[in-house]
Amino acid sequence: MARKPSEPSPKSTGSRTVDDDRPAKQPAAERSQVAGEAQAAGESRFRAEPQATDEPAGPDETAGPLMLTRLRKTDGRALILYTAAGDGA
Amino acid sequence: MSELRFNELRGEQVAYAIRRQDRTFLPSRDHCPLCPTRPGGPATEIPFPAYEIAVFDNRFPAFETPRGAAEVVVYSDDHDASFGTLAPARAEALMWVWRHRYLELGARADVEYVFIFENRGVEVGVTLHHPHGQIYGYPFLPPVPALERTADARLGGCAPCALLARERADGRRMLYANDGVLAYVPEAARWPYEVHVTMREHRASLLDCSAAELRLLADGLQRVVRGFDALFARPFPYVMAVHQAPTAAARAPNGEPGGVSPRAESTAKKNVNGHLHVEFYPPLRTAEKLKYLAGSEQGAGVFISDVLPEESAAELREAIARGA
Repeated sequence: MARKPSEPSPKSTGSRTVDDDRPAKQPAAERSQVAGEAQAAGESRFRAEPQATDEPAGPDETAGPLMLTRLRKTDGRALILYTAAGDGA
Repeated sequence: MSELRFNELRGEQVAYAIRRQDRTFLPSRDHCPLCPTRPGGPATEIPFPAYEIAVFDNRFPAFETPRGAAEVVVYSDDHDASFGTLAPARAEALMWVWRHRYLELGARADVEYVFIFENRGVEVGVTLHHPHGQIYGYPFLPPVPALERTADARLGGCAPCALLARERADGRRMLYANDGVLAYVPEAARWPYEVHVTMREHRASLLDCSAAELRLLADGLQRVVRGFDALFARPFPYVMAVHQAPTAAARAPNGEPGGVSPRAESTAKKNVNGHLHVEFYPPLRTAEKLKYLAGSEQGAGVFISDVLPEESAAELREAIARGA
C-alpha cells in the first residue's frame, strides 16, 4: 500500500530571475480573499488540505519560486494551485 | 480502478480504464472544465475566478492510488492560450511545476515512472482544447523508457549524451540551441517532424537542473512549438513527451518512498539512470495530411517515413526563425 507522501509547506523561496511579461499577479490580500472564498466553497465542494507537520522548517526548494495552495475536492481528488511568488507574497 | 493485463506476445502491460469511456469529450467553451469558475457560471474543476497553473487528479484516471497516478496540469486560465504562446515566465513556472510533480509523485511507493506529457490537437486525440498537459505515474517502468535504458547499455553509457554528441558533430539536423538545451530532428526520426530537445549537460531529471537550466528548457520548448505553428501557419498537433530517470531506483532499498524532503531529493539526485529530454511526435506529414500508423508500423514495428530528417530539419529551422 502506498504511503501518502508528506507535503511541503506552501511557502515560497527564491526570487524570479526573469524580467517577464507575465500577467499581473494578485496582491497578497486579494489572494487571501480568494483563498477564503475557496474555503467557504469547500463546504460544498472542497475542504482545506491539512498541512504537513513533519517537514523541517526552512526553505522549501521543491516548488522553487512558486507558492503552493493545496485543496482537496469532496470526492477526494487533490487540487494544487501554483502561483508565482513575489510582490506581496 | 483500472486493471493491468500483461500482453505476452508484446511483452508489455495493457491498462484497462473503462471509466474513461465516459470522459468529457470536446465540450463547448462555455462548459470547459478547465476554465476558471466565474461568478454565475458553471462550476469547473478549478473553483477560482482566476489562477495561474493548476494541477489536479484526473477525474477519469488511467492510473490511481494505490497503483499509480494520473494528474492534469492546466497551463493557464486563458482558454485560448497554448504552450507556445505562454509568457516566458509562465512557461518557466511550468518547468518548476513539472519538477515538483516529478519529485512528489516519484516519492510514492506505487509510482515507478513519472511521465509528463501533452497531447495537442484532435489529431492526437485531445478531448479538451484548454491548454493543458498530463502526468501519469506508472506503477511499472513503461516500455519506451525501458528501451532507452537498453540503449544506454548498447552504447556503453548515456545514450542521449552519445546521440547528442553525434548530432552536434553532424549539425545538419540541428534546429535551435541555447546555453541549456539543443533541439534537433533525430537522425532516425520516426515521424516526419519529430524533434528532440535535450539538455546539453547530463541531467537525469528535472531535479538535477539549475534554475537557469529550467528557464532555458522552457525557452527551447517554446521555440520548437512556435516553429511548429509557423511551419504550416496553423496550430500544429503533437505529442510532447518528457523523458527522464525512472523514480523507482531513487527510493530506499527497503522500498519505502523517500517522501518529499531534502533527504529524498538528495537520494533521487543520485539516480543517473536517464537523461532529461523532451520528444515531440507531430502526426502531420504535410499541412493537410496525417502520418498514419498502419500495417508496417503496427504489425511489424517498422516506421516508414516519406521525408528525410535532414529535409524536415531545414524546413523547421526556417519555421523556428519565423516563429521566434
